[in-house]
Amino acid sequence: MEKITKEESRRIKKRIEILKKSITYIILSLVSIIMILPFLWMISTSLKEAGAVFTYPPKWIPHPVVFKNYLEAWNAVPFGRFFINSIFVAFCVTIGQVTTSSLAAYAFARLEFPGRDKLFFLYLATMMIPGQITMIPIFILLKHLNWIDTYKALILPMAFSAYGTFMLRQFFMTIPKDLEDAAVMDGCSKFGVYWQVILPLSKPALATLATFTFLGNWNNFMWPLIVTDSMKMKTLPVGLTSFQGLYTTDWTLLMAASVIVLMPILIVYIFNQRFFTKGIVMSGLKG
Amino acid sequence: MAYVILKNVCKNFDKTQVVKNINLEIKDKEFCVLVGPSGCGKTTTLRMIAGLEDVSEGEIYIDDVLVNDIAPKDRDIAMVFQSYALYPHKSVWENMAFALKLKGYPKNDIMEMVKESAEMLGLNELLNRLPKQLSGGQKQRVALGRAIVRKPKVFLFDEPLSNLDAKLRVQMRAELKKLHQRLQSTIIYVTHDQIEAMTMGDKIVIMKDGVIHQADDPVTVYFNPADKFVAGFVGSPPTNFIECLVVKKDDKIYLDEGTFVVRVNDKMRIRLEEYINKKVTLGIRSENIYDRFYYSGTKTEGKTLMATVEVVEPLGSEKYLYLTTGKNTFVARVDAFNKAQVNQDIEIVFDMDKAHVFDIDTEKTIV
Repeated sequence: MEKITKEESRRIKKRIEILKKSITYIILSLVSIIMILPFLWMISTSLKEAGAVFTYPPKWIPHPVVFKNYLEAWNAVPFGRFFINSIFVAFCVTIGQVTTSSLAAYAFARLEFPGRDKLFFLYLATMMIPGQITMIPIFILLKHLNWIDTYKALILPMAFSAYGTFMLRQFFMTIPKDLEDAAVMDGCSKFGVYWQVILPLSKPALATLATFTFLGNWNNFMWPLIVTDSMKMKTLPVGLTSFQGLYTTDWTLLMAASVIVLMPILIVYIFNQRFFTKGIVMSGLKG
Repeated sequence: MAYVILKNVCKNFDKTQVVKNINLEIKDKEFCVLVGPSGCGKTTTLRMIAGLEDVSEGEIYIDDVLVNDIAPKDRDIAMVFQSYALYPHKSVWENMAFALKLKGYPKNDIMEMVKESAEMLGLNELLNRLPKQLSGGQKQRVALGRAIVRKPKVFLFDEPLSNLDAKLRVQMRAELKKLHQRLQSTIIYVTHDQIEAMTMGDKIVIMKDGVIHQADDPVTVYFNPADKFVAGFVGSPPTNFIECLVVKKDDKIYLDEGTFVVRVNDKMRIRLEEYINKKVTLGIRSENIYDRFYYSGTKTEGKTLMATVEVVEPLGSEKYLYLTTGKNTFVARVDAFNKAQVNQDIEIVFDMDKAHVFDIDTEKTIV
């Protein structure tokens, strides 16, 4: 008798489990469909004829499929140049941020100097200031330096990050102090400890920061728009606006160009997916 | 090799002084153990010798060199940490070779030196492994290897065995001692375990609250403790302490506990003359308390008293009897064949020749 009730209760538990899981999956599926729809619409539009964009009812499968939109979009603006600019800028900013953030984080986590924690909180507080507020002063500064429309303007103001410093500091603080002491006994200088012990042990955190920074910069629109004038300095997100006129927008070409722009980022994301989740879990923040 | 001298060394953290005016001389090739309860300043002292903590006041000499302002790497010392502190991203080989590389030794020399140390510790098979692929005992060996590969003047050990299980600890204790004999080097060893200190040290430095209570060889520390703390800290079970009044009767001096009276020996009598009618603490080790029934000594007059057995703890080779006089409780270590039962009143003998008397205020040993 008792055996049957045990069996039954187990079965009921299992059923509840399945039900719970099903509900979770249904909700997640719905959300992911909502998320992926614009993306699919973008691909669909990029393959349509110019006149077929706004047909009603909307057609998901383009007919005919127009691949030449991609070729046209690529040739309409200096896409190659935009690509190079974007890659170069994103790469330099990433290197810059990882370097400066990790050095600052090491100082805040491990070096002892008066006012260290106060300084750190002050630095953190800069995260509260919206970028729109500092945009104009920085622009004026760069203008006085004659840096407008140069790589320096695109890279240097972006090469520091309070968020990155915070995230790496939290990570560095989890590295046992004994390791540092051991390195000092072995003959490392302060920088030696950072280089030989802290950095190699922080690879996951550094990769996370690098991924966030690279993607954030790849998508950055506002800053490059403000500090660049000439076609040859524009980055991809700014370049995309070339397809948007004041009165008309060439939707098929814009979408084709958007797909092109999205490809590298998608690849980065696919390979570094785990660092994204890790980074969010690690800092409790979203980049 | 080297000797180490600490002169009036103090360490302050903000306003609290954790090491208070320490004076210590560690001879060449000596195995010196700093021992004491947690928070006694032993690790801080070691870290000051290592150079990982600044010295607030006083001087530290290694050989004849004042090292207060010399960087750890230039002091020619090596340290083994409690957590082993092996670099997780480096293989055993790289862990051992790291310090040598930083010192700029030629590659061939590094190969030789690492190989030699690895052989000494039986690490040959493990050289390509990462620390996470090692067991606790193996990690411990690698940490040792990393220290000895540099052939330093002084070895510093910070509770290196406390993360090992009991059996391995006993084994490593013997190995460390062997290693010391082989290397013939000066070792400063920190532990909170008095058994470890007693078994390994040539010199034991007993610390409490940042002060050295006694620095002597193990036998002296055990049989002639400098004060009540040392007597209570060293030995297991700890020394029994009984508060007594010193009384004089018929030209003889007795210690009056209230429920019993014991007569002191001649040596004690001279020293206790000035304590008559004052309170003192009698300290007697459990092995110096006998069951009268089994006592083989002859003169028991004035040394016996009655006590009730509260608990009997058989340990196999011997028994611990927890006794009470109604006012004080104490432990007697007796033979395994002792037949004393719980709640039984037995007559016991205090071997007063081995007992100590401590001042009740200063806690210093009177005799």
